[in-house]
Amino acid sequence: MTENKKTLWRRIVKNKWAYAFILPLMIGAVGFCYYPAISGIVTSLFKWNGTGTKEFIGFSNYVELFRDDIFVNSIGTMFVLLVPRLLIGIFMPLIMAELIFNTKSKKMQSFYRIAVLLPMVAPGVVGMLIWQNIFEPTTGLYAKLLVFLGICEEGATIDFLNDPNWVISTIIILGFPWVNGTNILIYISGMMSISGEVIEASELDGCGTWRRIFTIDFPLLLGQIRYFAVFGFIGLMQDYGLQMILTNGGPGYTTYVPGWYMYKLAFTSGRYGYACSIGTILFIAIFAVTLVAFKLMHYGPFAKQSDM
Amino acid sequence: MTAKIFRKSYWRTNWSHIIGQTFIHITMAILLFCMIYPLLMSVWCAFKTTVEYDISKFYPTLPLKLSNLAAAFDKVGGYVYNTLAVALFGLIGSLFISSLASYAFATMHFPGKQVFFMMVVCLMMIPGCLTLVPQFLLYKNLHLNNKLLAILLPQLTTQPVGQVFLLTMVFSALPKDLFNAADIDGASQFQIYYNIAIPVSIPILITQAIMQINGLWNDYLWPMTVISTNYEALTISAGLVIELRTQYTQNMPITYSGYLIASLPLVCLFLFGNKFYIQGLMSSSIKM
Repeated sequence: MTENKKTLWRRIVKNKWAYAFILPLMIGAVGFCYYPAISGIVTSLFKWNGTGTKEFIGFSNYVELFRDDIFVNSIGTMFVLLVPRLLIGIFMPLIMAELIFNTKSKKMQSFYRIAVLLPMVAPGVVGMLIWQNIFEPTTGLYAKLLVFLGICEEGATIDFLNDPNWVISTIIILGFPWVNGTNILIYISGMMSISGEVIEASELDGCGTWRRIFTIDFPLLLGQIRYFAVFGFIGLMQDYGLQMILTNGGPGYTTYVPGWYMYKLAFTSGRYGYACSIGTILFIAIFAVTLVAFKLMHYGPFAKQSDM
Repeated sequence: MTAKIFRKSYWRTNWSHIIGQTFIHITMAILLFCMIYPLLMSVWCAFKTTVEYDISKFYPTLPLKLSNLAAAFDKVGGYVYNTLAVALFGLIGSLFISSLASYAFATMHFPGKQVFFMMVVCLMMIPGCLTLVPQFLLYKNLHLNNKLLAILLPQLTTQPVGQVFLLTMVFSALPKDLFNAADIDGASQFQIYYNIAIPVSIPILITQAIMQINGLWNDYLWPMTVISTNYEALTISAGLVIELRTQYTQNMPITYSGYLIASLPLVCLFLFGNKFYIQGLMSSSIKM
């Protein structure tokens, strides 16, 4: 036993450089990632307004949460916003990647590849604020377009972001045509890695472009599609940027999602304990999704040792 | 006869080829136009007078009112400086911390390595929404809220955690002989890291740097959370939102000029980095 301890100690001393190398990282990971995460879960068991004394109330916050109509409704809103945005996020880049990949002219192909990255030059918040102007009632581009298409009557004043009937569809339209250069490039690189022999053989057998896309490209891109589905789902579940900048959760509670409710509770109402209980529930949900997905994808903690 | 049939089918495929390509180009042109039009609109609106803006915001007009830029710079210039400062120190610090740790994880064998690595990787499964409120309370207890340091510090503590996984994979893929040879020649571990591992992985480091700067430029959630009163310490995205909210009379052209100034550093980054970025994404470093 002492023998073992001695050799272990010797190995640690021998590798002192390795520990020095990972020390700054581990300080950050423990102090600024693990500590807040654990303290968040612990805080959710207390009644606390941030300054006074903490009062331990067990699971009362969670009981209250599931009787809270605002929270229960916000889960529904989250899925209403999440599903279309997730589908757009997966398939729009895929369609554009197919278009670019099937472009025969090499010059145009590389032009398109750079062009789709262009929105990166404007900060996301600038994009959102520009869209806010597009959605302006009567004078905005969107109002003019709807009149032109005959969906709205001339002179109708619809406050797209403040009308409960319009706000959800408006938020989903925002960002059209939803170009995401990074994801397009990842898809294209996936298509390029499909062996040329497979494509050639399919062409010789008389397989047209459409058939090739559905029977060869899509199945072989399943890895990328799954990746975007998982990370898109996780990201959108906790996304409330639109609420923060454009709708403020309104009108009324129509665009409240759990994340935004948590933010409001903590930083407007000062109910930190209650807010942390929402954070904890989101964490459990997201953790479960991630765990299953990573296991299926052999990613993160389940990465095969040979991949490393 | 056969020649005739051959030519017929040849022409048919050729026509379908041309139609297909035209379809692609037209669709791409429409999509790219829809993508770029709002951005262009904000560019020409930045140089209009308020009167011109009201009557002609959908198309560009002359003359350009350049004084808008100066007025906007007074408003958002401070935020740009803040963001540049955080980007500079944050980038150097975080890439140093993450690459150093990744090098240790990838090339050295030490007791507890698997445990430490798992600890870092498992953080990928803890969502930001769980840690947002407690992290705010942590910075408040450290008396860092309302200071620029509160925006810089996460770049050095939380950011490297996300970079370690990819960098470790990259360093592991490097040939071991490279390091062994230097080891035999008596180089210290830090020398090997600094003189061999870093230079050969510059492209992936640049890709990571671009992603980090982009993330920093786009982040408004954390700055708006941790800085609630001292608006002078905000970074650019949050600053734009606050500026827009507190503006009494809205002068839209100046607001658009502000957007333009906020975007300029990203334009430079794009011009410099798009080659690396495309290469980094297209190379098989992202395997699925």
